[in-house]
Amino acid sequence: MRKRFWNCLTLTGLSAAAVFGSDHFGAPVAVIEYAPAAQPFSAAALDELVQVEVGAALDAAGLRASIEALFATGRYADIQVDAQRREDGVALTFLTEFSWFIGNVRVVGAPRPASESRLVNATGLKLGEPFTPEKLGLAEQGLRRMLAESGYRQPKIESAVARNTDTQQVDIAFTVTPGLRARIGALLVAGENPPLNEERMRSIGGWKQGAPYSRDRILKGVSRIREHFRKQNRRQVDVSVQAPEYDPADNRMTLVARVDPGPEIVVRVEGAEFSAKKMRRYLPVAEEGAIDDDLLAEGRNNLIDLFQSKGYFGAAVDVEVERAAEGESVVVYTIRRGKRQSLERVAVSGNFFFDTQTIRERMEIEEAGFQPLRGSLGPRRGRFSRSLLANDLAAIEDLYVANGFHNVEVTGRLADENGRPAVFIEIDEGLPAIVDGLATAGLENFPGDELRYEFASAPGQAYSTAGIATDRDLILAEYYNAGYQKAAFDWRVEPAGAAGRVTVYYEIDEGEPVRLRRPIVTGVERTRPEVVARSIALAPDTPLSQAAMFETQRNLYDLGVFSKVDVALQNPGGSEGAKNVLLQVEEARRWAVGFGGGAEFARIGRNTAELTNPVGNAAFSPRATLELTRLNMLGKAHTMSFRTRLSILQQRGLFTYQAPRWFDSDRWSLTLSALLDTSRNVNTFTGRRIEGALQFTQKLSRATTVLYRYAYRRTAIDENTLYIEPLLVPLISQPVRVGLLSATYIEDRRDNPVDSTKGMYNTLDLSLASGAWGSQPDFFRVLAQNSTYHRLGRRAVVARTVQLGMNLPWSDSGVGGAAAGTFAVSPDPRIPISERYFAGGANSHRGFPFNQAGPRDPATGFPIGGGSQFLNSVELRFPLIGVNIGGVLFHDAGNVYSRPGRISFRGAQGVRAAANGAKEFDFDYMVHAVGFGIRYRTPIGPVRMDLAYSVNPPRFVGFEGTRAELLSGSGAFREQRINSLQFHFSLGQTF
Amino acid sequence: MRRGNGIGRPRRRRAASIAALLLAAAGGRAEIIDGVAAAVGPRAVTHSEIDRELRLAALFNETEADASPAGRRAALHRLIERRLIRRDMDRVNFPTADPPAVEERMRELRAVRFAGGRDFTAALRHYGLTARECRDFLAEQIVFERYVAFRFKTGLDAAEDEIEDYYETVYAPQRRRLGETPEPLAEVAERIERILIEMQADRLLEERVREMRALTRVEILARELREPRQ
Repeated sequence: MRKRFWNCLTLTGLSAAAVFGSDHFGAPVAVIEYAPAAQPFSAAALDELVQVEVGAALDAAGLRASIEALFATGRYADIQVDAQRREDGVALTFLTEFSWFIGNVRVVGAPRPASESRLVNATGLKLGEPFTPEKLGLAEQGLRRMLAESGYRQPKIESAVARNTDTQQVDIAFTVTPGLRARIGALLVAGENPPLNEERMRSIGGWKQGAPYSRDRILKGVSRIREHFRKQNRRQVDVSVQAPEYDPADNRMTLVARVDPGPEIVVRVEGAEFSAKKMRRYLPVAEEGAIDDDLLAEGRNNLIDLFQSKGYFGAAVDVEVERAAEGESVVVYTIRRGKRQSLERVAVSGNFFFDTQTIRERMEIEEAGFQPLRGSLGPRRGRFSRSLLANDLAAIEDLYVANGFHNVEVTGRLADENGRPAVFIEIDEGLPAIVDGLATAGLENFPGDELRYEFASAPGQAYSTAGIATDRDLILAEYYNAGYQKAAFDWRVEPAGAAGRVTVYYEIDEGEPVRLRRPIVTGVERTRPEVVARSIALAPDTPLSQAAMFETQRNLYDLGVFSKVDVALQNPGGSEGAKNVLLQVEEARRWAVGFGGGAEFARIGRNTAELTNPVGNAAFSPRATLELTRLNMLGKAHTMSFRTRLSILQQRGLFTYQAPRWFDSDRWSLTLSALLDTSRNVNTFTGRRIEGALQFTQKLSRATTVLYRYAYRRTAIDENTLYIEPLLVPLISQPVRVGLLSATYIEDRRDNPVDSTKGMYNTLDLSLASGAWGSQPDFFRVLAQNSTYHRLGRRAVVARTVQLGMNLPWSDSGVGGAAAGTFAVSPDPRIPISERYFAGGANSHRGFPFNQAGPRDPATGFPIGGGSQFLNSVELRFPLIGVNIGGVLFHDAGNVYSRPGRISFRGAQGVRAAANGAKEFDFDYMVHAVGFGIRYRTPIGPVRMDLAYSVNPPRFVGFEGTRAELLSGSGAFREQRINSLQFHFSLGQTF
Repeated sequence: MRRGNGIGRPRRRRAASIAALLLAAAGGRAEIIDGVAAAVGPRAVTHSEIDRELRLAALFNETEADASPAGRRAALHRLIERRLIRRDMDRVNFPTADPPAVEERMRELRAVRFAGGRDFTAALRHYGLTARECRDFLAEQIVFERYVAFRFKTGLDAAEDEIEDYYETVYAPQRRRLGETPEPLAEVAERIERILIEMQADRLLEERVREMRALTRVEILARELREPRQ
């Protein structure tokens, strides 16, 4: 074979020189021209590629090298060189045909179950790759294959190729006319004495006569038949269906199926209850149906692991295979569980370089009971099995090796300690290998010296392959982002002079840098070009950076108007020094409609006439939502949406218009909103709010954002729903117009906003309501929050938050401020009730029902809001059962206070006898609640249940009777108290 | 126009012909003197490379070059397969041949082929070749051999029964056909083992060429060089 590569020739008689010589070679080159004249490269770039010079003698090698260099760029499909003799030499003309590259590929008319995206994949045409007519043929074959698998055996496929000479791209559109979908026809059962007849096989396999044919349906049927026999302990069942025959006359597929059920293998587990499903999970012999020593031993080990993990540390398992009858085997696993125990202790010794906590954080084995070191309640009997021990030993060894301890030895054993099981891990660390010197070679066109300070394998550091991998990634990322797309990294290590010291050598093959010729965007139909252009982080004639390509893709997705953004290099295999980057986008549907439903269950119930229960009754409120969204308004990537929510408690319509990239900057965005809302989120009243708002959002950095907002609203309170002192109703129920100019600073450094485990979250909101911008009340509002999250051990988190809010009126109208120390002050009436602070409930102070904290109406006992609030919460979040169920211990403290000057840390509620002999209560004190909660982790955040016990819940005077009775002076006043126990059910962490 | 009407697909051919005719009409004699004959991935195999391959083969075989369509097709086929293997080598950055090794091979060539007073320089002139072209060719051969040894021979061996089988079925009958008495197996076992390893390596190489061909775009642009059935 190898000889044929070189000189295995059939020889005939002509002289080579006579045949191949050309009298042009050796003559001076008079001129070099190109046809067509417009080439994909500039004249200077062509001069660099072509190694034939005007005035020099034409030589074959130079000409060949020129053709090869031009062709290797990938920009040419064919090159021929024409020579013409002139008086002054040879005129050379490069006759070129340009390459075409694959652009947008579409398949129109995709029938179910084949989707358009699956069919596009089936064409095998990849964005940016060279296009040839042969590929078109292969693409059609791929489409036919995919359609045939879906049952479309006689499709008509037409292809249209649109060429863009500017970009050398071809857009290819396939139009599929699928024809009728084939149906399942005859079913022939092959083999002697088949275990299933045709009827039974059709029934089990789901291959009904006349059912639509698809490959998936056949495969599902095969799987169902296999399962049917597995249930009969036929674990080696072989089901096959031959390639179906298609009869175009009746559009039916004839199936030929063969079933060989194989021998019967009964698997039995003695000494424990095992379902069939569990057997298949733990016993490979039950799953794979083959009896061999390896599978039998694997099953035995799995069972031992399983029972050890349940506390049967001395579990033993025997396995026996019995040949029961002809073609039947019985596999019996006998389990001897032994005594169930708890793992008393996990002891780690011999570790000097790493502390025990660092090592334990990498271990799965766990002793029973609460483990403060690990931040875990711990499993009831501890966690241990032989495989867990092996994994833990390997993890510890990896930790040491990654830090230079290449001779580390880690051993572990389960042993009795005072009659109780304990695990002993012994570590012999050995000496670490330290990097004595780091030498780099090949960093020629890149400032590698700047990088060296960041190298993980810098001199003095531990030598490890993990450190080298880190350095490799760092170096290559820098190169890729600087246009060196083919940069390669190699390394070696040699012992240095001193014992335990090594010299590390990095060798970098930089390759040739590639520059960006230009980005080419295709697929944009409705979006304005300038909107797309603003998202492109790729500047022509700069190094081709991978990071910039990813950033561009992300920016385009972030516009929210594209459902798909593909990024690829045009001509990826070509050697040209400057390449085009293709950005192929697919615009998303512009209209979206969403429906939703839900329900609230809380203390939200209220009798429409009775004033008896100000805290509210537990009630159920169904909710329906409708959302209509229009994306990409005016082609500017703006979004308009209209959301409605209807429930017993709330009827809301919200219109928003969002414009990202305001002021031509991706740091700014604009939101306009209009709201019509009638809701009873406070038991005391039902308010109707009409609001318009204009908000600018400024992103200062990844973590910090500032919102600038003007909101104007008119809030009217239905006086029939206002459950307060009747004399005050006409005053409080007055409609009020509030104009608020505000700025909010948000600093979010949490690792995960939905379920934070570290970081912090700070907000400061400053608002000013003034007659200058249309507000009736004049006041200044400040609301600040600081939350921090700290890991405790590996899995526990301490989270804390503090909130402080104040409304500070400054106009002279209404009642003046109240001095601190005054007993039982009412909220400042200059602040409308709708603008006051309300708190309490699952997301604020859990010692209260929803919005029940703070001052109350002295006549009815209903909450009337306050002028300030202070809330402090501390939580310990820890895993409880597995990874998905966690627990929380919490302490909430704080309250809503009547006025800013009345914030108090006093724990006892003030009470005194009023002039009429009744009790009068002061609500300006701090309410404490402690409690326990459970969190169940879901993809949208934890589902939460909290049970809080309030140590000092407020007492108040309520009225037993109806509004009419209150007005008439009948009915009775009665002292009430908010229940000490409060239960909350919600979604997401409290803060 | 020596090859102008036989190269490439119709549209390309038309374009080349029209351009050449225009050039011819403008005065002197127009002639396509080189061009792309085939593409192997992004690399071109030119007509002049095929010519050079024929000349080199003729030089090494001490014959005249076969410029028939079949001869040119065979040469192109060899070049394509070598280009495929070259791509495989490039994937692992296989090193090029060092100059001393090339010079050694050059000396061997002259000693074996041009012993007895034959003039090597005159032979190169006769075939229209240069010493550098000859060296490049030998360098390519050296790298190829090293790559085959590295990639396909490493770890190969022949079992005793395979050696015996080869001896009984191939070697001994061949000797007998030549009227000679076959040597005992023990004497030739080592040689047979080498032959069997070479055969295994050849099979692996052939398989790799097939794989590379499947992975690489190979397109013969010059119609006259396509296989007749194409």
